[in-house]
Amino acid sequence: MDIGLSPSGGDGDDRAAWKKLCNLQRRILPQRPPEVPGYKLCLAYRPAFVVTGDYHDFFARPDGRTAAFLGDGSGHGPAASMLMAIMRTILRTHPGLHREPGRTLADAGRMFHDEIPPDLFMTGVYLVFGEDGWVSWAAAGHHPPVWVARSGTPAPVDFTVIGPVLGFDPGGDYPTVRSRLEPGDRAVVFTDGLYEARNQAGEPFSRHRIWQYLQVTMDDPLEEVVAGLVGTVKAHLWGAEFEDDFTVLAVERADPPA
Amino acid sequence: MGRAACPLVVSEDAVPGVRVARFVRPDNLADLDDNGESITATPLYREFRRAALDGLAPGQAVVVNLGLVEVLPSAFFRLLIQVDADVTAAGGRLLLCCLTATGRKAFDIMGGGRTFPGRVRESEAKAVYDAKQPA
Repeated sequence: MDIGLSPSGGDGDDRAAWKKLCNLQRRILPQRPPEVPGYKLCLAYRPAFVVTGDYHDFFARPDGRTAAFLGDGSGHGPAASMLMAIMRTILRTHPGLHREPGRTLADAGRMFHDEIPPDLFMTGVYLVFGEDGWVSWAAAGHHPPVWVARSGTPAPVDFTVIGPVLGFDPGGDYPTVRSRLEPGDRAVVFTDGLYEARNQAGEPFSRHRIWQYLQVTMDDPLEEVVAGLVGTVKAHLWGAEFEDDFTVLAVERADPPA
Repeated sequence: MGRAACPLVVSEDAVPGVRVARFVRPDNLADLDDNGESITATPLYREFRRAALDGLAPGQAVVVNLGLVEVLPSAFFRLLIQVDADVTAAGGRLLLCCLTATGRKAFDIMGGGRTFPGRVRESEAKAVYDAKQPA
């Protein structure tokens, strides 16, 4: 499911043009995740200003499995949205890229590097949803997925497997990690606009609070967890505006059919 | 007569061969807005570049002290990448030191350890510094 969140910003004579841009981006970005056998997926995203520089997408791979990409263009808003559009073109028009996640990021990153100015980049995570709860993934300058067991126990996060940001080093190396979700376990991927959201005192929401939130909501339905997480971050802002785009993708391994 | 603007980066050549550049503010976001231009269009880049490169001799190391930086967004990472490229092109070498716990985590998430293998601890930076001191 998707969480309908309205973009902010866009005043004066530019408002109609911004609205068109916003509408176009909504049409090219998936507004809800696909059905993936054996999993439940839930998505929320919000531009900081009219359009987002975050990029989420889903791919039906040649091997029959489904993959997801969640990325974050450097900067935010309309300028960063150009980066997400370029990455979308690369990932959508080159089906041969969709192999094991580390190789996908390496190849996509090399193509991305050739298309963008040298001081820009994108971070991202590419995940492949396999059978029996096996999820393989790789990260490029991006926070790895957070894994929380049905019991509420989070798995330690290994930052050593994170490869370089996409677009900077055309020879970047990205390890592929395989992790298994048991029924009821969850994995959550997000962009930094969520945990770096700062209230008027300048205090970020922090990754630690995301951890805590995910631990104490394991008994709640996935869509409520995602909506509640976004609401909790908004409450933390205490009236301040989101300074950056954010995207959250939550995955739960479904219980096997009885 | 107006006051001079508060600096964003200060630097010193305390010993031959090693320059230390220190960021002064914990949050530099306001000076990192590029208006869709290159990162080189930002005030922080101009000041950081000047602090790191003005008068830099080939072979000189630039130790960047990030000890006061608490907010390390992707734009700051772009800044470091750009100035690293500038320093390398000038024949120097950029080393980072004194990342705060918050900054270090953000840095690690962006794969900074691989992008900047020259990252050093404060003690290591000081060892570079001390090694250049006359006996």
